[in-house]
Amino acid sequence: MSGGAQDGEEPSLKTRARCREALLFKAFHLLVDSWKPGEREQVELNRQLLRIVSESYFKDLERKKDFHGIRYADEHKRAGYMIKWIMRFRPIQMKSENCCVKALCANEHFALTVALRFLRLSPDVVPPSFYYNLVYSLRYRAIDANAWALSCFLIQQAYGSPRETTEGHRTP
Amino acid sequence: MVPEKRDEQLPETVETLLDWKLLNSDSPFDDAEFLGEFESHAQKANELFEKAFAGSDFAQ
Repeated sequence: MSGGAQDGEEPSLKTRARCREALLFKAFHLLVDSWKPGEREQVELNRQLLRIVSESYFKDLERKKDFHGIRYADEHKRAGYMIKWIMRFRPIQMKSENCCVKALCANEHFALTVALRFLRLSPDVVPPSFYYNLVYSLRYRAIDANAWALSCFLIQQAYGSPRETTEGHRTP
Repeated sequence: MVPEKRDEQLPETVETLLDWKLLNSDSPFDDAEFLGEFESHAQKANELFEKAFAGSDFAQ
């Protein structure tokens, strides 16, 4: 990760948060770019909320890493904590009062797309019915970052290739 | 019987809990790797969403 740190020195939380914010900004536009014309105009990304998402993610994850003495979080925690903060602040806003379902569920879809990328899992290996249930859970159920980190671990175990799974580890 | 000094019975348990090993990564997050091929990833995610919600009245 870029961020103005000296060799071996961890960039500050603020620097990492700004880098992640920029990354999420690009990811959002790459996601909606392939939406049909008429759909992508129904949503917009609120940059202020995205900044809060990014800073909250790092502050939250830093606490866990500090408590457990973890230097770098694994991909399941990254995915679980990012899901939590995207869903908490919902940075994608609707611009219409007659939106398509993809726009209505844009935050859930964005959170899952980012999470799958953290897991290095291609969306085409995930069954549509399961994805439907994941979106439902994000929309209607209470969200706990650690529970989602565990879910992400299990999703990777279920659908990842042997290289991507983490055989031998007992706990996520 | 309540021990006079409760702390004498605690350290081993506390240490065990705090020493619980979680999965972690041995490398920092790589922005370039994340964004590499993200366009294709996003396209597949959109296709997955379309299949998942085909014919659904979810959230309407």
